[in-house]
Amino acid sequence: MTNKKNIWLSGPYIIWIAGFIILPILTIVYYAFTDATKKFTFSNIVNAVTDTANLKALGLTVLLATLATLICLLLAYPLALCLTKSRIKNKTLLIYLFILPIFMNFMLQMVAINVILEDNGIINSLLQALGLPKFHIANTFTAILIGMSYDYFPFMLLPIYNTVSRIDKDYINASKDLGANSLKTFLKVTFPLTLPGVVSGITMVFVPAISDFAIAEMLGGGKIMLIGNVVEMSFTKGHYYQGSGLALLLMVFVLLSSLIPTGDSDTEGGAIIL
Amino acid sequence: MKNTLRTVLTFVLILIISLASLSLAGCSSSKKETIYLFNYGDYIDPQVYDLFEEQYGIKVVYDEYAAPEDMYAKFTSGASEYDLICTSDYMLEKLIKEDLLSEIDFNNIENFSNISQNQLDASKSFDPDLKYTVPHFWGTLGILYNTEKVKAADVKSWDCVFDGKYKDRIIMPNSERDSFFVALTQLGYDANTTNKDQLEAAAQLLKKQKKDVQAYLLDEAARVKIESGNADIAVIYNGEAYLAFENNDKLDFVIPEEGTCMWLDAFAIPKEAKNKEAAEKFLNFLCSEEIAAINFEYIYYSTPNQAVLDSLDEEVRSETAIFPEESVFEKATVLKYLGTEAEQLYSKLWKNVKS
Repeated sequence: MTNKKNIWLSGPYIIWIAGFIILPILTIVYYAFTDATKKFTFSNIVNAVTDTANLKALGLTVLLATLATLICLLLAYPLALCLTKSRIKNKTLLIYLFILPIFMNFMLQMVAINVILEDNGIINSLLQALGLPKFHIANTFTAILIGMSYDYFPFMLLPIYNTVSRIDKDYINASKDLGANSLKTFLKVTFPLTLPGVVSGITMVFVPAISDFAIAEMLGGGKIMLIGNVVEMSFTKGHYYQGSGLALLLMVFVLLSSLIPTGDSDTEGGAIIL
Repeated sequence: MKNTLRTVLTFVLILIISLASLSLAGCSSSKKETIYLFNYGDYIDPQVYDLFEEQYGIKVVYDEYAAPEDMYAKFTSGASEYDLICTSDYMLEKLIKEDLLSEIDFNNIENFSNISQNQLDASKSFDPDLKYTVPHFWGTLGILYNTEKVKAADVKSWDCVFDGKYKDRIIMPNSERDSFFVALTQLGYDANTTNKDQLEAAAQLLKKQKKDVQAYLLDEAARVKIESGNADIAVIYNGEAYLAFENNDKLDFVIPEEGTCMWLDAFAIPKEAKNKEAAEKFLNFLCSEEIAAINFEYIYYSTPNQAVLDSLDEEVRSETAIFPEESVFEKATVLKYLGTEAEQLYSKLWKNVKS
C-alpha cells in the first residue's frame, strides 16, 4: 500500500515530465527521421554527421568544452583545498562570494565580459594607460573560453568543495603518522577521497558547455559556430528537419559525456547529479 | 501487472484533465480588443501603442525579431497568430507568392494618401498591384565609419571591407542576404542572382573575408561597436548611421560607388488574421502625419510619408544618410525573393561562411 501512495506523490512530476520532457523528445525524434514530405528518412542524421560545417562545429565544441572544464578544474580544486584549510569561521558566506556570479543575470554577465575584453575595453584601456601594447581578444575563441569558464566555474567549485570539506581530518593525520609527506598524503588520501566531487564537477561543467550556444553567440560576434549555434540557426531559419537531426546527434553526445565514470557514487557528497 | 495498468491509466486521466483545464483557462481571458503585431526590433516608438490604445481602445501586443528568415520560420510554424506583420521587400514578395497575405481594404486607410508616389512605385517591385502592403520605412545599406581611423577615399568602394587593410576593425551584417549583397556586388554580379557558381564565388569571398571581420552584427549592436570605437567600419543600414552621429561626431556614412541595396519595409495583414478590421485601423493610424512623424523621430530611417517629408526642416531633409542623393538610386538594387531552391543554397553557403 505504501508503494501506491508514493506513486501518487510523484503524480505532478509525471505530468510535468510527460508534457515537457517526453513529448518534446518524441517530437524531435519524429522530425529527425522525417523529411519535408513527412516520409521516413535517415538523411537528416546522415547530413548531421557528414556535413563538414557540422563536423567542424562539433570538433570546436568538444575542444572548447574540454578546455573550459580543465580551466574550471584547475581554478576550483586548489581553491576548494584552500577554503577548507582556512581559519575563517563563516565559510558558507565565503562560498557564497565565490558563486555570487550565479545570482547575476546571465545576459548582464556576458555583456560585462564583452565590455572588459573589447578592443577599447577595460583591460585594453588599462594596458594602454600603462604604455603596454593592446591585444585583440573580443569576438574570438579565447573570449568564448573565458566566458564559458567564468559562467560554469561555480558548478565545478561546489561539488569539489563539498567532498574536500567532508574529509575526516583523522585520515590525514593517520597518513602523516604513518610517515607520508604532504605530497604523498594528497595523492594517496585526499585526492582519491575527493574524486567523486571532481567527477561530478566535470560532468556539471562539460555537459552544459557542450550544448551551449548563447555564450558563443554573445562573445563570439557570430564568427564562431558551435554545434549549439548550428542547431539554433537551423530552427530559427525554419529548417526543423535538419535541426532535429543535429539536435539528436547533440543529445547522443551529451548522453555519452554524462556517462563519464562517476567513481564510487556512494561516497558522501559524491556525484550529485547522477 | 494489473496494478501497473491501473496506475498508468490513472496518470493518463490526470494528464487529460489537467490539459483540458489548461485549455479552458485559455479561452476565458478576452476582455479588451487586441491585435498581435510581429515586427523588427525597436521599429515603432512604444508611445505609439499607448496613443493608439487611448484613441481606439485597441491594445497592440507585439513580438520582435531580428532577421526576415527568423520571422518567416516563426510565422509559418503557426505557433502564434498575428494580425499584422512588418517585414522587408523580398520576404513580402515570398509571402505574397505563397498566398499567405490578405488583401488590404485601402478604403479603410484614408491616410494612405500620405504615402509618397515614389515609394509606391518602388513597392511595385515586390507587390506589383499594390494590394497587400503599407510602407513603413525604407533605406539603404552603406558604410558607417570612423573618420579618424579610416580614410574617406577608402570607403568609396566596397573594396575596403575585403582588402584586409582594416583587419579586425570591420563589422558585417549578420543577415545572409545583406552580406551576400556586398560580396556579389564586389564581384560585379547581380545581387538577385540564383546562379550557383556566382553564389559560391560570393560565399568564398565572404569566407576569405571572415578573418578580417571582427563580428557579424545587425542594427543597434553594430552601431554601438562603431560609436564606442571598438570597430571602425560597419556595413549597416542608413538609419542607424544617423543615430550614431548623435552619439559620436567623428563618424560618417557613405554609400559605395558600386551601388547599394535599397530596402523597403512594409506592413501586411496575414490571411489568418483574426482581427483584420483593427489591424487596418492601426495601419491608418500609422500613416497619419502625426504618428508617422513620431516614428520618424524615433528611428530616423527614411520615411515614405510625404506629409512628414514636407514638414521637415531643411537641415534634416539635406541629411544624406537619411535621404540619399538622387544618383544613389541609379545604382540601387532591391532584393527579390529567389525561390526555395536558391534560398536553401543561401542557407547552406551562409552556414559554411560562418562555421
